[in-house]
Amino acid sequence: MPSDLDLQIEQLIRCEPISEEQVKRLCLKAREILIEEGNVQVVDSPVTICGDIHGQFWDLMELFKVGGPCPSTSYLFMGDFVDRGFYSVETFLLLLAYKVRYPERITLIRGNHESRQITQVYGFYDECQRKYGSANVWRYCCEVFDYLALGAIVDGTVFCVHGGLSPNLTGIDQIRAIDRKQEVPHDGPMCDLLWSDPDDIQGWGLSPRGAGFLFGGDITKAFVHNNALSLIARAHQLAMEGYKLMFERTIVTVWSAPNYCYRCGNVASILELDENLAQEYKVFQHAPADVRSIPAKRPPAEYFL
Amino acid sequence: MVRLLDQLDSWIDEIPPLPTPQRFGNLAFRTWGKRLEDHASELLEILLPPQLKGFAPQLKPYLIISFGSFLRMDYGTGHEAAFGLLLLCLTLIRFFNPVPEEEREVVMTVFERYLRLCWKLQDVYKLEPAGSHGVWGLDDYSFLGYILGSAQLRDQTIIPVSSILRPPLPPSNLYYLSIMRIHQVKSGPFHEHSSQLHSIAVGVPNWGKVNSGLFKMYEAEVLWKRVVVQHLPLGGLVEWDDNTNAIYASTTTLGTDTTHTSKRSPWASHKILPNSGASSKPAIDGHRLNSSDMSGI
Repeated sequence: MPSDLDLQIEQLIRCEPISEEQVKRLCLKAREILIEEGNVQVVDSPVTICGDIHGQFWDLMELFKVGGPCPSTSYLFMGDFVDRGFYSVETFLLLLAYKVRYPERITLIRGNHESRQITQVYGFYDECQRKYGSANVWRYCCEVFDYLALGAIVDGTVFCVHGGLSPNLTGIDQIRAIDRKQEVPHDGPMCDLLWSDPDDIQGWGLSPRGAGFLFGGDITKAFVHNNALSLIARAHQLAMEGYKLMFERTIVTVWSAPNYCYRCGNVASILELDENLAQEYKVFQHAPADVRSIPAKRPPAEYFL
Repeated sequence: MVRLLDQLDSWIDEIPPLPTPQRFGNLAFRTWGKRLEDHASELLEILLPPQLKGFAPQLKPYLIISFGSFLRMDYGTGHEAAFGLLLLCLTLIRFFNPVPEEEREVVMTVFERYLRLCWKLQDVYKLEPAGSHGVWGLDDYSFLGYILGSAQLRDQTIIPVSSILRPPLPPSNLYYLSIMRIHQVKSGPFHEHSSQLHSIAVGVPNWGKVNSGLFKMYEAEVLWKRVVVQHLPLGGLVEWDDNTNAIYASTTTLGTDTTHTSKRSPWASHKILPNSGASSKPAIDGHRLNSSDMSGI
């Protein structure tokens, strides 16, 4: 129901979580929309491409100030909405609400943190427990994660994926053949797309992350050439200057979480593609203290009781 | 041991960060790391007395992953755990003796030295936090300093737990040291960037409960997490135990039982690299032990 959704969006924009019942209904609606999307979702320019957010809600608000509000600006978020920050719940649900409200104006693809296993380690599960008193909201969100596309392609030439390439996938068509509606596997092409990293090597390398692979400039250029691309946009790795181009501008890392962990001192960026696919990188900093709400002080964890 | 750490420290001054723009971590860290990998055996040979030199190959895998990932240019509690395992192994072979006076020295001298070395590496080479839990974790890089530090404060009541909220703190224990390190590198209000530490300071009544709570938290959030321990080499002095599904140290076979077969952890499976020329030999992650590496006894 549009007006209900508009109210939920207003609430989430104030960084207030919506009720568990509302979450359940929002997630069901989101799944109905996402299930229609391909593994590699087709997107038209102009579009603004964003990297990891990791629950940094107030920095997401900075992002919208810099890039323009949804839906007037068309957005593509490359995953890792949750974990680490204080506000994974509000962050993810806002983006999901936008998706349900303006499905043609925002694209969400899956990151390696959109996973049951990972969110139980890195904070999203704990946050849901704290804010809702049970794991239900976490479960509803994980079910949505399973439906998120694995990648996107803008005007047929800018391929977007959270992590990187896979030795099992030389063509984008092969990605379309994957059955994505599952928990992120420990290995295989679907895992690689969400976990791999570009690196200054030749060919493929074992990833020190323990999942995915490292891939060199030769692999990148071959993939770009064989798939008639102009660019691969990805996220997944911290970049001091907000973005990092590699391999003669065939691949770019876009990172959208400023001052990561309150210590890295990095800026964040978004990549604006206009209707001719010209690239503009807009950089932004951590939201100033006065616009951020003070996170609720919590009792110590159960370990100490 | 401190001399060994001092030597590693001196290499930092010899290997300054590269001025060229990097994604985040400085590539010079890989040079430092290569020097460590190349000299690790030699360093251990110098460290160990003659009757223990045979254990060097079993200690080396822990030493070379105690300071971060040179490939990823990051550092986290997994690397710290590897150093903990190194200290454990040195105790198992009786390089260190498990008596209170020596153990105290290991904590207050060796571990503190290690901590300061890691901080310097993080600062100079801009190491990323490896697998930080963000605001849901204790600290982006380390954990053991808090356990050991709270143990130092455990048997007194004059200094309250909440004292950490009033910096500056003297470097009189590892807990205070770790808190002051956070103030040095993080920006913003303490309750925001270090909310777990803040809630402990406000909500836990005494250091004993802090200490015991941190032990439980360490087990649950570091040792029992596959994403951390999958990188720890096992087999030899410290093994994977199929029965209890827990890591335990083999205390009975100190170099005398040559029939003892090493057990690898379940995830230490060989990954074959695509297009690797020598496909008959599986490619092993450089940080992992191969059973043929452990024939030092």
